[in-house]
Amino acid sequence: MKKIFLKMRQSLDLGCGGTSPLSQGATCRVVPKRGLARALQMMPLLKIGLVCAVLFDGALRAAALDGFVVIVNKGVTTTSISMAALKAIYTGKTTYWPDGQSVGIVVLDDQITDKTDEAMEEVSGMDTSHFKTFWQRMVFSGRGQMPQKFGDTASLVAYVASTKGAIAIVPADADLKSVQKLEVK
Amino acid sequence: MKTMKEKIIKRLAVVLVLAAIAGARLQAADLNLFGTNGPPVDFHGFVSQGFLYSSDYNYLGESSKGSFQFTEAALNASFNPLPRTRISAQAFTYDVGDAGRYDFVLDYAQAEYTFNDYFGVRAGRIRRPQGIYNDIQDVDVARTFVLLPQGIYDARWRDFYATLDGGEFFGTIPLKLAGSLSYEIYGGMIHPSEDGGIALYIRSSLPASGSLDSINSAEVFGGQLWWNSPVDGLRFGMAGAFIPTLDYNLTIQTLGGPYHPDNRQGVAFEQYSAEYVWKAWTFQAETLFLDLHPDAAGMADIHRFTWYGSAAYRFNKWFEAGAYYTEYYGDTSQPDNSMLYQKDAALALRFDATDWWTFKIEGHYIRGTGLLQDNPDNPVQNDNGWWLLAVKTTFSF
Repeated sequence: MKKIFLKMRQSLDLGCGGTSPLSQGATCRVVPKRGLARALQMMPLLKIGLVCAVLFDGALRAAALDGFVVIVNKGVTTTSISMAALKAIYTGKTTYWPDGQSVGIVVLDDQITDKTDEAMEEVSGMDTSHFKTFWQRMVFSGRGQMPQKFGDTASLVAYVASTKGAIAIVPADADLKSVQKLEVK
Repeated sequence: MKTMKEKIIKRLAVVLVLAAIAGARLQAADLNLFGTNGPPVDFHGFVSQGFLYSSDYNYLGESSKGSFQFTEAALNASFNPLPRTRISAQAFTYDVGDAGRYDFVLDYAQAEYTFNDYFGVRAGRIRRPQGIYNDIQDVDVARTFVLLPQGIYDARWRDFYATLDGGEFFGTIPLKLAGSLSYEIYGGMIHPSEDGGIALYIRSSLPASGSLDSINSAEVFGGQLWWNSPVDGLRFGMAGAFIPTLDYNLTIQTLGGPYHPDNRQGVAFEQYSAEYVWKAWTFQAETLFLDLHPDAAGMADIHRFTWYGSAAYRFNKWFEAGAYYTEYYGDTSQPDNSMLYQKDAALALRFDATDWWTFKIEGHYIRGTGLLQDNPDNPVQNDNGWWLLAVKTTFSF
């Protein structure tokens, strides 16, 4: 493995030395274009990724949120959402509603039911542990806001009802008069 | 250099924060500091305490005797004062061997405005994105391992690697069936600390008659691009950064009086990353090319290279196990010099006792001494393999 990498490294060098720091040698300047040249040589890696994507095409289909609904605070002007847009919210790529309100993700405690976990996995593409770790990364790097967690559905719904921009996935049979349901297309 | 008394006081402060978190079992708090009609302020934090023990050498502290000099703590706050606007800040302190020394630093303090998903602006003191972990290398709970592959994410070098004062553009561009592209392009200044890892590295390479007087702030420019493939959890990244001039001031005492050598060099980073999170598995692989270009006549360029591959499996909500193998070459023109390379096989077990308490234990088998740096503490080095045990616990909220 070392030889492969070193060979790759050698092929990408522009002959700017590579000798011992104690030996004599001409200095050279960094040429910014070089990074792009190297990047282009990494294209095979991207192609492999694309092939993987095609092979796993079945995974692209949005599955229905069986027995669960998406709810938002009544101040959110959106009435329907695509599965892709929902996924963008739960993976931190969309952080604001179209009217500029901050999106606040609210989740049920992962101890409640396995089905809650499955619903979350469906929209985020991550199991509950990875979902938690992902948002810890976002929060501690200053790039996101940690989802609020609740131990029961009634408390969660009450929080969504009183918090601007809040969104959650809850069992369809919960009392949802105080919040707005989003249709998932 | 800090006195022992100062260090003890700072350590006590960190322990008190830890006790407060553990005792009060703080939950992440939304506080209405600006009144009930104002935006809520979101607080989070963590305290980590580690222990290192090695069969040979002193690595990241006096590990051959068993070292508790492995502490990190942070507290952050964020709020949205206006639509599409967010302000956040984090205070941070750490101690890893002789680096950090519990100095409290402003880790980030930034304002961001997001025009839409495609384009946003962030300015202030920001985290520098590079690869999977650079902007979160302090955050123990965000990974399986106690020690990340040190050739890429050196625990002592975060003042040099992790933050900058400046700004960045960021966004995510959807590519329909091909997934999406996330980008961050940044520029600004870095301020290496005289208690930080790069200062230690320079000091450890000086002769006994030499001293490091100061390290100047330096400009840095770079970017990170992630292709989020249409396969859930699979992404590929590339990152580059360029420091045109890293400048530090030395004094060497000679018979003819003090001598101040020229110590300017350009630094260039290139990093390539791949990550696949599939069900309970996480697979990661990264490579880093780091090139040093000294200005001084007669000094040759130095090319460094690191790669690693890792796999982790989450058994249930409490247990996760992971392993990685990494190779670091401090000078690619001397790949067989054991004082310049370090090859490390690691096996880790993570236990999440509660939502707010994590415990990890990890074993390393290492060949080479290329990352020791503390040469005065490791006068005899050879190519025999050696062991390192790392234990760490973290409280977070």
